[in-house]
This record gives sequence, structure tokens and C-alpha cells, in this order.
Amino acid sequence: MHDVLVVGGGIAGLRAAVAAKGAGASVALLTQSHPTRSYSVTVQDGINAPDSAEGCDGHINDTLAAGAGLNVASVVTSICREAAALVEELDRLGVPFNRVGSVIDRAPVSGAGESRATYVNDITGLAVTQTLYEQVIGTGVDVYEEWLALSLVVDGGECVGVVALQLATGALEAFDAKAVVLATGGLRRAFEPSTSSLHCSGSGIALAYRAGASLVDMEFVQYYPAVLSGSHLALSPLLLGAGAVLEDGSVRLNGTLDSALVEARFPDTLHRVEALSGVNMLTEPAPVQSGMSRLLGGVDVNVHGESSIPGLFAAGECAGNGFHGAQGLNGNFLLVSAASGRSAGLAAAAHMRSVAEGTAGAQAASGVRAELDAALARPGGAPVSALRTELASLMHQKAGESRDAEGLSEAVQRIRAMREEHAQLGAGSTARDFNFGLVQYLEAGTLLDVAETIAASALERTESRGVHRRTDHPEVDASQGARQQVTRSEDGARVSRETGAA
Amino acid sequence: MEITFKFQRGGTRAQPEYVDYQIDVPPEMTVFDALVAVRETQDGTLAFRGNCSVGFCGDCTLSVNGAQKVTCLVTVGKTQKDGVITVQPIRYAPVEKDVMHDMRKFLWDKVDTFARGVVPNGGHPVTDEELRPVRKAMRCTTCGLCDEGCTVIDVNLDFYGPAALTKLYRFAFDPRDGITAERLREGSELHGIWDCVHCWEATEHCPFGLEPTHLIMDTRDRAIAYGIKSGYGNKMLERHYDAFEESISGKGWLDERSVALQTYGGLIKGGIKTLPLGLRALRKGKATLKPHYKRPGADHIRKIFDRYNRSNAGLRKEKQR
Ligand code: SF4
Repeated sequence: MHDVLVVGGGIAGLRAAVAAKGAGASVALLTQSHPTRSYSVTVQDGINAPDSAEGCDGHINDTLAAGAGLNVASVVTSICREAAALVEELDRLGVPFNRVGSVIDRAPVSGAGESRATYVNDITGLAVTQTLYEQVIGTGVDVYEEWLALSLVVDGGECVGVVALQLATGALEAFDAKAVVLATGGLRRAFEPSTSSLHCSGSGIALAYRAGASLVDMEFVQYYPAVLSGSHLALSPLLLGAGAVLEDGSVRLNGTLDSALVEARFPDTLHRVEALSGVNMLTEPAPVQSGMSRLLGGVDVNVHGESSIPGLFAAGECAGNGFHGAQGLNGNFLLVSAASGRSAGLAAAAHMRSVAEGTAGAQAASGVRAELDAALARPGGAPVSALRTELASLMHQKAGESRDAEGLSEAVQRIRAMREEHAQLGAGSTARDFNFGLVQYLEAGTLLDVAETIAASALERTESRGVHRRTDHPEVDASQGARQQVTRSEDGARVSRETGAA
Repeated sequence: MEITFKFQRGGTRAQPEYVDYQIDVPPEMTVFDALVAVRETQDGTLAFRGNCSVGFCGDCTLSVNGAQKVTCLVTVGKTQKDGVITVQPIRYAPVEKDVMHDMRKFLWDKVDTFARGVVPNGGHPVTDEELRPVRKAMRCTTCGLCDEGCTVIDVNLDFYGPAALTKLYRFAFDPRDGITAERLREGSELHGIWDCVHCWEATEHCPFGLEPTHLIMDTRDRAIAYGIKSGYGNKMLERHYDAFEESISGKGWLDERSVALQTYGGLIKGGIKTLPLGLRALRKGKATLKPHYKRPGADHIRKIFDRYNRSNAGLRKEKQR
């Protein structure tokens, strides 16, 4: 039994684990891969953190303007106000932020107005992840690597643990905890093109949803305009902010940016673009397309990361705390991951309850075992893969950057049918150790569940706002200025309009 | 393009067993994406790692057609030979299943040894310049390719290896850290920086140009500036290196008699220990009792030592702080 169990080893999860540990809790961190293999390491964005009070007001205003009336203002204010301190703390812990002289530099990122993004060349995500992982190692958090969380344990309405599968052995275990923090990231694999990593399967969101938690803002799916064609690599908004030109489906540096500067600040971008597309960006434009990059909604939580289920917290991309509203600014994503991770970790550690060593965990585990055994016996592989591929193109076409009622209801219907097809499928092999067929089947399940909530929410919002663009309702409708919640019901996702923010 | 993946499943390193998988993919697809497609559509029990697919997570390192690669950064078209791509585990790494390496043993335990976070020294504000080495080392994806090329790990899996020592470098060169000397001593233990044979293979192997061998050499220089030498923790070896340095810098050549005496603990203790060997050498005419004369180039050699010491004066001062 741990005081706090964190699920997910990216920036939000690591920050949550470090915060909870620092508050004196015993902490376990459960991750699908080694933490420094998480999606977070690919993020080459900066972290918005102005170093003055006026700068901070500007940051708040820009964030609210982008969010188009749907931000939770108190969350925006609190996170923006702590941003500079958060960056200083990360710097103290070891993140080597770029400086001008000895002052941490602030650079412009595309689409976000002023120069307020702190950064580490083009490896901010990698550097922050490494640094937080070092803290996890240094402070003695128990790390469970290569475990996949499959179900929340809810007892008497409270979350008291997680049932998880050990990938190497196929063992199933119930992890008891006084509080659980979900930090599993987004569901990019439900969209193509996207900036996806393989593990971006929406699992935490699906687990919370299945356990009865409410989700929020699920219709807001943000695309990034400069994803290297045929790949999942986003060209950094810092690169565009520095003057690279995005036009006619390509990003051009030559003629606009000094090669020496690009080589010094974007070495990893140059290297990877060349490896992935054969283009030397110093001399030729790189072909790009728009790809899904961020889910702005998630598990409905307040500023402390508390969900509608006591004992269940969420942070990072899987959490919908209302910071972004209807559209997120570049430079705000890593900020929210770190900030929300910290507050969820602290709140989870403070969630002092005497949870008796009950039998709920064991019961939940045996239920999951039965389901898994059935899935192991069913055929899988290619048909599961086909479902996932179909989902990714369906979501992109019908629930992507441009939407309408017809396409969205078609998507909802098709996803429901796909869930039934999915239920007939399985792992395709009874192997216990490293059964990726089983993982694929389970991930397709979480992707389908969360995708349905996205399409259903988007269908319900009959207006255009932020990144939610309805061709059949191209204007903002002032009467729809409330957030939408989604809960699970017998006949699928049920969407409702918020009455008062949590 | 029709590709046959010859995928190593089972058998031994000496006698691997392969299973063939055919797939039709565009030549510009990465090897990693193609392998994922094979696993997702043909055989879900194929075991290999990988997540980000864009070269940042370092998880998909494999041997493909005999070359060791971060497989998401190489294309099928350029890797295949006559339509075949043979997939094997990387050398030296223990294997859990198929081409799934035991990364805990091969890498993580070693990296974690040096991964204790920065212990702030509460010191002066640092400049961008001072942080550049740290930033360079943090580009490391822990892909393990430098360890894969390492000629020491080949014979001694316990050697920390260039990837873990890159992590040590990251801290040893961080001006914000307050326990540099302690870290350098840790890194100087057995299997640490002094076990590197500077074959430069790691630098050749790093796909991101981090030059891990250079980083090890720089870490050694820093250790020396902190008064920590090869053979750290072994008194006799430490004396040996001191005597060696003294002899060359003072006399311009290696005076084996004084080196031997000092190594074994000075005139009296060393004298007794080396007496039988010395007598035998005298008898065979390999040693003489006459004093050694000073070599003609000795002054020049001393100048080289002086210059080296001056160039490290800053570090020495810092160490005393
Ligand atoms: S130093 Fe280079 S080769 Fe070695 S693990 Fe790091 S990135 Fe890979």
C-alpha cells in the first residue's frame, strides 16, 4: 500500500510523484515504458513564464483570449502566476535553460504573441523529463516500469488503487493506494496525421470514465500546423517563433534564419528532419502538414487536480482543468503539465484517509483477470489493427479540424459499432509475456471509448469556438459559453452543459 | 516495396533462429514503423521496444542487417539488402525475449547510479556559456548505441559504459551542482571513467554526435584537476601514478627505480619489497646503482607539464572553494 500512486511517467506524472514524495507521502510511479521514454521527451515547445508582473498579466490575457471564454479563470491565474517560480525551480533542479548572459532567456513561440517562452534549445521536453526523473530516482519513489494500468479500484465511491498488467510477465496486480494520480497523457493514436507516440492511447481518461468520473471539454482537439509530412515529428513552435516561415505546406529556414543560429539552437530538429525525410533544412524547405497534437479536455478536475471521484486526481494532458479553454497557446502545454502535476501530487499527498487494507483491489483484479483471459482466447491482430487505423482516419476526417453534424453523428454511430466489433476481438495469442497483441487490443478499447466522447461532445456543441470548428455553425454562439461534461451511460457517452465550474 | 523481415526469435547468439515476416511498405517508411506494422497485423507476440517514433525516446535500438541503429531514424529502403532486413538484438545486451533487451541490466541500473539530481550549491548565477556542456550531454536519448559499440563492455558487462558516464559528465560539468568532487570520486571507482580504453568507438557510434568518448576524457581531466587519479581508492596505484608523473616531469624520462620504490611505499617499505627484484635486475645488468643523468629534453617536458597545470588552475581553485 502506498499513500500515492501515480500512473504515467511523463512530465506531469514525474512532477506529481516528486511533489507527493516531497510532502512526505510514500509514492509509487507506474509507467508503461521507462519514464525517459515517454511522449514528453519529444516535446520541443518552450514553457511560457514571463519574469515580470506586467508580463504575467499579458500571459493571462493572451491565454484567456485564446481560450475564447471557456477557460476557468482561476486556474489560468494561479498557473500563470506560479510559472516563473516553476521555471526557476526546474532550473535549480538541473534543467539547463538557455540564458542571455546569466538571465534565463524568453523567446517567442509561434501564435503566442510576446517573447515569454523559456526553453532548452530544441530539447525542452527531454531536459525537463530527465531532470524530473533524476529527482524521482534521488528521492526514492518506487518506480514500476512497463506496467499498463487497466482499471481503477473504486470502493464505496472512493478510488483506492489501480489494477495493472506487467508487460514482461503478464502478471496482474492490484496496487492499493490512498490516492491515485492519473497522468497518462493524450490519445494521439486516435488521429492520423498526428504527433503521436505509440503509447498515446488515452488510457487514463478511459479508466476514469469507465469508473464513473466525469470528463470535460472533450470536443477541443488541437492541431499543430507544422508536423513533418509522413512522420509524427512536430517542428518546434520556437523554430517558427524564431523566424522560420510556414507557407504552402512547408517550413523554410533559408533566407530567413541564420544557419549558425539554427545549428546552435535546433541541432536535434535538423538531425531528425534529415533522418526522417532526407531534407537538409539549412538549404531546403521541409514538407509539413497539419496534425493532431493536443487534447484540451480530459478528466474533469479542479485546480488541485481533484476529479469527481474522491481519491482520484488527474494531471497533464489527460486532465481537463480548464486552463486552455477552447484553444491552447504554444508554450502553455509543458507549463500546464508541470504545474498541474505539482498541484495534483500535493493534493493527493494531503488526501489523508485511513484506507483499510480492503479486498476491493483483489476483487477488481480477479474481475480484470477473467476479462483478460477471455480476451487472450479471442482472435486479434490484423482486425484490431484495422479498427485502430480506421478510427484514426475517421476521427481526422469527421472529428478533426473541421466538423459538421452529419459527419459527427456518423462518427458517433460508427465508433459505437466499432466498439461492438472490438468486443468480439482479442489478443490473438495466449502468450503471457510481452503480449503486444493484448496491449494493442486493450489500447484500441481505450481509444474507442475516448474517441466516442470527443465526437459526442463535438456534436453537441453547435457553434464554432476556439479549435472546435463547425462548418454548419461557423459562428460563436454566446449562449453556449459553458463547458460540457461527458459521463458514461448505458447507451454511450452522455454530454451535458455545465452549470457551475468545479 | 516487398520486404522480408528475418526476425531473430530464440536460439542463441551463436546460433540464432529466425522467423520470416513479409510486408509491403513504402521504401521511405522507417524500419521501426514497418516493424510495428508487422507486429500489429501479423504477430502480436513479436517482442521489441519503441514508443515515440521520432528519435527522441531512444527505445527502439536494434541491430538491422548487421548495423546497430535507432530504428525509427532509418528507412526501410536504405536498410534493406535484396529485399531482406535481418533483425537482431544489439551485441552485449542480455536479452529478455526475441530482440527485447534487458535494459535494466544493460543500461538503466548504470545510468541511475549517476542520476542523482543536482544538489544546488547556492552559488553564483551561471552563464549560458557555462551550461553548454550540460545541454549537450542532455541531448542523450539513452539509446545505448555507444555502449553497444564499447570495446570494454564487450569483455566486461560491469563497466559503466559511455551512456552512464555521459550522465556523470552532465553533473560533473554543471556549475550549479555542489557535490562535484563526490561525483567524480564515484565515477572513479572500479568500472568507471578510468576503465575506458579510449578506443573512440562510442564517439563513432553515437547517432546524435554527442561524442561520448570525448565526454569521458573531459571527465577524467576534471577528476585529475580535483586531485582524483586513475586507480582512485587503491593507494598503491595512486602512488604509482604520482611517481610516474614526478619522474617524467622532473627527469624527462621514466626512472623505473624511483617509480618502483615510491609505488611500493617509499625508500624503506618499497626498498624491502622491491629488493629481490632489484638484486636480480642488478645481477642481469638491467639496472645500475649509478645515478640517472638528466635527459637533454627534460626542461621542455617540464614546460609541457607546467602549461597543463596552468590551464587547469581555474579548476583547482574551484575545487578549493
Ligand atoms: S551518448 Fe549517444 S549513443 Fe550513447 S546513449 Fe546517449 S544518445 Fe545514445
